[in-house]
Amino acid sequence: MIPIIGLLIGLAVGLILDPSVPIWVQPYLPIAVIAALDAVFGAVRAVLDGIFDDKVFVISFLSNVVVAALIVFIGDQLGVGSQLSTGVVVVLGVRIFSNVASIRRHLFHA
Amino acid sequence: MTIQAPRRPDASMSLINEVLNRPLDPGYAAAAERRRLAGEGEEQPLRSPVVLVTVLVIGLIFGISVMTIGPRTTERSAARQDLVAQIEARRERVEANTARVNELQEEVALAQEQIVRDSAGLEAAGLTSALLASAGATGVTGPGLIITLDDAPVEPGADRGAPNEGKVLSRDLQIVVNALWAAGAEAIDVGGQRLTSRSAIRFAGEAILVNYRPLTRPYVVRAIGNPEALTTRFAGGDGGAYVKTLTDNFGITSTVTVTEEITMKSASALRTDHARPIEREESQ
Repeated sequence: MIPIIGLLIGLAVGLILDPSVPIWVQPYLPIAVIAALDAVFGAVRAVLDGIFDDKVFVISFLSNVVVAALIVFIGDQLGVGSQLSTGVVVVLGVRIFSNVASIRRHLFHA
Repeated sequence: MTIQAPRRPDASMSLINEVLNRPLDPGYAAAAERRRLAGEGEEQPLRSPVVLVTVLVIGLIFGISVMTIGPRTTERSAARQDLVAQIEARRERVEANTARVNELQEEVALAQEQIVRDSAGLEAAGLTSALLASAGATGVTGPGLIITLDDAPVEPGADRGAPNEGKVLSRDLQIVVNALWAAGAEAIDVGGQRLTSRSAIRFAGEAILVNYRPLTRPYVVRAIGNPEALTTRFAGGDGGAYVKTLTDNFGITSTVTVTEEITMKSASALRTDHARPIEREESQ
């Protein structure tokens, strides 16, 4: 329950304060969102599997964001930023899908 | 002799298998295993402050993204809206002013005619009004031709980014207009813009400008003159051949109609900057 409330508080803070994001960060925001979604769904699945671990959660989130941003950054430098962004989105998207499928099996047994 | 295990048919897709079959971070399972071996309880550390902080950060990222990525009604689109509104307002003003100019020019022409008639007689007045009409200073009406040119219809499924080969160019309008003059047209307007000796039909970016005013398609060229002569001489001359080529090669649609009455406004920008009439000596 507490993590959900934390998530909502963070969301509300972001929506209300509407902090101005520096231009150079903006290309990484979509990737960060996908990486964060992956971490969240992974965590929910782990909770349902009964194997949640706080350190793994935090580290997986941070490494997701950092690696995804790094890939996009390097891609930008090489001139293939959009292609690598697509790659990151595809990989994380597939993971999100199968994690959600697993969560669904847990919750609805279907 | 070792027996090699049969090669898995999907061995070359190990990356995809990895992603699809083990989507959960193996770290979770490893950590659970470690905890079990260490004899710790099964309780899940959902309430640890690290989790709370991370979850807050994740929420913050979502919130910021919604505000930053979602509605792009930020400065750029606001400025765009503003510019569009300005353009429309100015265009309306130009239109109103043009109408006023036309009105005043008609009045001036009438007054001029009156003066000339009073001072120099009917014949001179007729000459003046004929000159004013051919110079584009007065509105005119009469029978004539209406030629409508339009871009080739874009084929569905065609690449929308590709340049449309079948676009009407300023050159096409120039050739049609010149052919009409050559066919004996006495007054021509293009898209409602009366052509004078100082009119230019030219390109500015994507738009065709006549008298420095952008036209929208379809492009309507109206010419006043003897309809029969215009029709035969235009269709039989270079103009008709050119239009036919445009239609055959580029799919540009064109229609030519003969009308009993065309009414044209006077040209709005009618002045000379450097040319002055030769002053005649009073004692002639």
